[in-house]
Amino acid sequence: MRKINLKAKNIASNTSSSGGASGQISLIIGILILILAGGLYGGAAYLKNAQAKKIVVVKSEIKTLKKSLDTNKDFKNVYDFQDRLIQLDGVDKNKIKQVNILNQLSQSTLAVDTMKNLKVAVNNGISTIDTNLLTPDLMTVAKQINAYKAVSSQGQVSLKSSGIKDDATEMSVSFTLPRMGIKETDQNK
Amino acid sequence: MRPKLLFFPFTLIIFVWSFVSLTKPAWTEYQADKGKLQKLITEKQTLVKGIANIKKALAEFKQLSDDDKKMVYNAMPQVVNNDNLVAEINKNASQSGVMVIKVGTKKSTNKNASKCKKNASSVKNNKSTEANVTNCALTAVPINVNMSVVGTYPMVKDFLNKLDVQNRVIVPQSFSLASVNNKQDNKDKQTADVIDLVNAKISFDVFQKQQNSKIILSKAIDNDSILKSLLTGGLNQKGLQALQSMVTSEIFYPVTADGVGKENLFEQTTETTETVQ
Repeated sequence: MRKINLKAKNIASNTSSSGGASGQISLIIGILILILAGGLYGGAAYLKNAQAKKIVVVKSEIKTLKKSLDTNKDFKNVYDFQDRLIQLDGVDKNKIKQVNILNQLSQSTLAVDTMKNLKVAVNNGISTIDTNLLTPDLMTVAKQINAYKAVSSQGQVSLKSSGIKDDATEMSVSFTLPRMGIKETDQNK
Repeated sequence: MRPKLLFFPFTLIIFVWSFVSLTKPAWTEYQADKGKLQKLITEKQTLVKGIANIKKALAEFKQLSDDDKKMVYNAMPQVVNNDNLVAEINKNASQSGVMVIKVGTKKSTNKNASKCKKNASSVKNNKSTEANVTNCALTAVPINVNMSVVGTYPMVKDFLNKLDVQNRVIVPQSFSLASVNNKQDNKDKQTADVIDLVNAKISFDVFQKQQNSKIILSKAIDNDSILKSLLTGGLNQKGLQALQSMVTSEIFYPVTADGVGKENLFEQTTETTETVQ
């Protein structure tokens, strides 16, 4: 009877101690898992919030910088000035000096010839010359054409007409001059 | 006994649930915001750098002499400025000795300007490229001027020379010179004074700045070519040098409308206005 009781007690105590250990382990691991879950979420939430605060700060800094850029009158003045300079830089590319064309013609016209009229059309810096001249004779017409040929852009001069008028020979020629930049030398300066 | 053993699987379930529904979304949001923050920091750095560069250009601008600034404003005004144009032409004419017979202006047919309009409309429809828009901003608006003057050949030549280098930059389109005595040859053979006169008809373009006043600098900082040029290289020295080579005349100071006010608008007066010197 006593033996039986002891055995039963022994069995009971053995069973109880093995179940308790598993329970303890389960409890500890469970708590660790909960801490880990909380820690991971806490970390992520902290990083997210800290970053959100930083974004707000940077956004407000950007807003301030933009405001200072848009409201500063000096900035607008310097922008306007730069705009004009850039547009002038573009204009410069098509600019020629009319007086350079006249100087070029002066250098190439024979002293005995008299210009009656002169038309100059400028397109992209290239000048097309149409002129009527009074020359003493046909030989001078040839010399004059030769002189203009030397300065024309394509080395050719178109003789539109030549004929005797009163005491002289009137000639009409057309030719193009090459592009003359604004830095060409001016004779009359 | 049983609740203790069930605690571990229960916490595992909690862990998985918290990871999926709390930690992961928070992390994803953090990652997304990280890119956003980086973008904002870059934007801020661009702005800071941009403002510093504009300040440098501003310092450069402030160092320019008043004459240099005046020269740029005269050459490329914001508005047509016909008054100053006519006054400067008159100044050149009176200095050369030619008589101005006629001056007229009209809007020049500008291919670039019409391109600009097309681009502006397509920008609204988001069809235009950035390059087209920036080219548009760089194009000055031409105004064609037609005029005729009479004087001796040296006078006319001097006048043309003065026009070439005047403050309001011109780009010649055409000019014609004709001896006046051709027409009057038969009538006035005895009037020696008329013999050497030349009649000049001149056509040229002057320019007006493309209207760009409504620009908001902070919005244009990424795609505006003018602003980009300011941010990278300061003031456009090339443009200034180009102008200095084009304009060699003295600085023109615009006229003021002295003596305005008249009760009888149709009353004829004998007083003559002073010529601008």
